[in-house]
Amino acid sequence: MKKTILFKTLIDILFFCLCLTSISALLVVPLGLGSINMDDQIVENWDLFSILIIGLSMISYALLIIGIYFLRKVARLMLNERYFQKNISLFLKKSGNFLIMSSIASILMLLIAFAKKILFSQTIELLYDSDKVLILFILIIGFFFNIQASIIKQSISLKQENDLTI
Amino acid sequence: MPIIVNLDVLLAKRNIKSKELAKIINITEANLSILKSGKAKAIRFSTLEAICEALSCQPSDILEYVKEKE
Repeated sequence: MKKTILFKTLIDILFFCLCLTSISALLVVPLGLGSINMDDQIVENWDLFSILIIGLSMISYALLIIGIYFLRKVARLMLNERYFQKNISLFLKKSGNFLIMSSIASILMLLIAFAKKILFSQTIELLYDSDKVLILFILIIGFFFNIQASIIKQSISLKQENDLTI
Repeated sequence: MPIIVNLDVLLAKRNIKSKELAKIINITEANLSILKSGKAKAIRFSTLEAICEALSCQPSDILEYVKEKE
């Protein structure tokens, strides 16, 4: 299987999994079919902190889905193996921007959850969670996509120059 | 672009068609058209040499610098 086809297939699977998760969350939460736990804090009273945390979590997830959606567009354009296209650069930049925004929203959410713990639990726990490292990874990937978009943009101009050298 | 390509003038003077020149210097007609229309970003020395040899001229006969109005 070609690398580009494999890449597109994996992005598609990721995109549909993310969509499925968000749809199931939208159905489960309002119907009260499951409890909402944030960082092992069971939400009983909907105070400002809880609303902020759930709001930021939803925003972060939505931004991640949009970022992956633009990456899907990039993967689709890459299928014909013509990488120096303006649209690839444009969609990659958009994808990077959304991934950066998503990870920033996640970091804010974590900070608010931590602040809530300090204020209400009276005790401070510092736990290392490998899942949190993924947020940092998404932030790095977002910046990488942004840089990669600039590289492709420069490459397009160099290719154009090369094509017009007689 | 302040560099003007006077290839069409030279071709008319020598009474040579673009198609013939393209065949002599071994480039496509499309590329020769790009060169003639001034859309080319650069010209290789090898291409310039071939044109000069085919048309018995100097590079200065083909290329001209005209200062752009500000």
